Amino acid sequence: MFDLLVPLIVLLPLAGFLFTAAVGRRLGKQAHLVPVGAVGLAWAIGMLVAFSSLTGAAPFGHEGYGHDYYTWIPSGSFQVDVGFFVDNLTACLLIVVLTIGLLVHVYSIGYMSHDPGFWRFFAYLNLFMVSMLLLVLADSFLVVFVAWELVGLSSYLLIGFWKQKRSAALAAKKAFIVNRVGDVGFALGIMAIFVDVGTLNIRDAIAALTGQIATFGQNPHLVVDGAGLPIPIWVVALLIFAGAMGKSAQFPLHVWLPDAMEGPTPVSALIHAATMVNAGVYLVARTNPIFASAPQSMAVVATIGIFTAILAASIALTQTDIKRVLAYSTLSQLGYMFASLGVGAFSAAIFHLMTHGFFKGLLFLGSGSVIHAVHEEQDMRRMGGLAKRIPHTYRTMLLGSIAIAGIPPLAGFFSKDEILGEAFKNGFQWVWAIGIVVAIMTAFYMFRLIGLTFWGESRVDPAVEPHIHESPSVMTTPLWLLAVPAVLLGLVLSLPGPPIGPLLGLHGPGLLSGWLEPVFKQGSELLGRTEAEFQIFGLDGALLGASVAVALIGVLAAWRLFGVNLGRIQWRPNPERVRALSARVPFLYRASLNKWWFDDLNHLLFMVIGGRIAAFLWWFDRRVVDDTVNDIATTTVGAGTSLRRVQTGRVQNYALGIAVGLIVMAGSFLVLAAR
Amino acid sequence: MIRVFVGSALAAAFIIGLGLIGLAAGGSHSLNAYLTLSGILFTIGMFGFLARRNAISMLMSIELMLNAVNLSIIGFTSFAATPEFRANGSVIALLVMAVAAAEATVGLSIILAIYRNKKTPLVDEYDAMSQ
Repeated sequence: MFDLLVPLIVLLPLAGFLFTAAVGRRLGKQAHLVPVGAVGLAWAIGMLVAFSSLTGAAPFGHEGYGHDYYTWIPSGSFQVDVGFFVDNLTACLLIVVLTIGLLVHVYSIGYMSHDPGFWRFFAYLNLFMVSMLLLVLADSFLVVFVAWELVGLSSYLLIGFWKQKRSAALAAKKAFIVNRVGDVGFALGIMAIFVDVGTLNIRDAIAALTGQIATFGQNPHLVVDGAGLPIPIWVVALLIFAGAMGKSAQFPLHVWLPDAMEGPTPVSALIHAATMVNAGVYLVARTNPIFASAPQSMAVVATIGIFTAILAASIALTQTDIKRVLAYSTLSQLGYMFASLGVGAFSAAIFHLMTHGFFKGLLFLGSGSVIHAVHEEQDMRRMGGLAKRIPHTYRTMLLGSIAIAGIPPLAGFFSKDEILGEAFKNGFQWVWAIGIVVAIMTAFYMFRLIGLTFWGESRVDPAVEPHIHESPSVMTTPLWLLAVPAVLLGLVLSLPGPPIGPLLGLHGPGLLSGWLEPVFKQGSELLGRTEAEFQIFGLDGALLGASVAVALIGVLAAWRLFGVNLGRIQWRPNPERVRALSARVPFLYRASLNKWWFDDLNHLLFMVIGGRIAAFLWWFDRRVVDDTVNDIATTTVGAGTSLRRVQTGRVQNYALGIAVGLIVMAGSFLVLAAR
Repeated sequence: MIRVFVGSALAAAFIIGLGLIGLAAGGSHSLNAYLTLSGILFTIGMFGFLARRNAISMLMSIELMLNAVNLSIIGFTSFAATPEFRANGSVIALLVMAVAAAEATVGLSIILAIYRNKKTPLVDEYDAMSQ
């Protein structure tokens, strides 16, 4: 039965995409029915599959279940099968992708209702769902790569959805090009895997690379022991990570994600917060034994992850565009996930991926609702006091902010605390230290956002002020539906394990770590990780307390500076103090405001210096390469022109040549003979 | 009239000069005298072929060179060490003369054919090959 159901998850949105692309234009305002219906059905099937897999029902068991449907490339020893594989990791991703995808589809019915490209938007959204689902379900690196490019394509189409806007078109191009840099790494990684083990099936390749089974194909004599590979395993790991860096926007390929906010807000929520940017995390988690076999590559992952986290968080502190704050926040949280993968806490990374997907999706959809209410205004300096005017949006976004700030018992607290705790216990104290600073910043910029947007005096354009309205229920319902997991998901997935389980006298691992244990078993064994008993009154309790404390510090600091209006707690915003504080650290303030000049650096590197190099190469091509060829031709023609004068056509001149030649030959013979 | 006398005198001086050169080279009993004469004749023929513009004169110069070669061949064989070879040179010379006659016939008819087209016996006007 599942052989049939699993491909349906991909095929239903594909049918929706093809249908809408073909006849959507004629459907007008009804264009959403088929795409949303297709995703709804896919959601139902996906939940069934995910539930069956997570409960270990036949045929999934603990190891997952895969089935090959079609031999795509049968070419001697190079064979690529198109197959789907579902294990608990895929199931977790299916839950995130399908649930948020469905809610974003529903939300878009309201958000995009006035847009002339209504049908086109839904066609693209369905194309994205096809790509993303193919990415998580595929069983072959090559098929993953195809899906990888397809999500890039749909991301490009959706960022540039309002293509008449120049900034949107440029942002789409930027995202595509920056992603391409990472994709080159991924493509090389796939080639390296094939060179090493001769198969592209993910499970076989991982097993062969880590020495579980002998290699396939052209290297049958090569018994892998990790050292005998033609291409060392750490190179493979870093190449795969390069792909993950591009898709998940990690430093230095992070520049495309903030610009991607030019797309419609549902797109930002679905693609650039909850699903596509997680593809990199998923890929590293999926290939965890490869990374675990090369500890130095794990250190690279952790370093880049935590560096991106603090870099993006520091930028988010001062941005005034509501969507850009959330975009940098996404970067920062993705950095957390990679840091978590890098320190070997694989299941904590997936935990954070799930909770972050829900609360960041919620925050983005909420920001879309805010932007809708104040008539497409995105600058937070021209908002304020919206809490009373758009109460549903306010309440759900407040819940999302508490969740991401890491205040217990909402979802973000559990996953973030697990990441930080694991980092500390796995010997990456410096990752923990930076992570704590990032946690303060996270809480601060989120409540800065809430303070500027919802609390305090209204700074909305007086012309717009009377028209502020709450979004229709087709938009607020998805917000509330996302708020539920944003509040509860952390608690549910961590029970009966730490940190709450032991307090209630429960034992055993958390629900999610239990699910993911078989997936990450090999990676954890390669790293030599052992589960220590959770001590609420020991190290773990202290780390827990630290997490909560820094979150509260961040929240209180934001309240002091940007005000609060929460029941009995009433503080006024304090703009003078903000100005004084930013004047005290002018360099840091300007660095944050200018995003640490990365766009300028890229401009300098690739536009100015790269342009010079290109101009030089053009000159070289024109002057040296072309002219060499031209000069050869000119010389030949010139030589012919001048030499033809020798050919006078007069018999006596030729005879003179013969005579002179004869004399020279005879003379030289005599001279030589005389010696 | 003067020119005839001057020309005859120059010719006589030339022949006497040749005889002196022959004597200096060793007289009629020396191979060198014949070879010297042959060389001088060949050089004159070559100079005539290269320098004269008239096609007929060039043909005559060719004859001169051929006969210079004939003279050297006869000279070599006359001084050969084995008596049986001494007649061979004359046979070769006769053969060369026959070939030279045939060649002169062909050459003259070619010159006549060109002359009919070009209306001139001067070879530097025959430049059709340079086009």
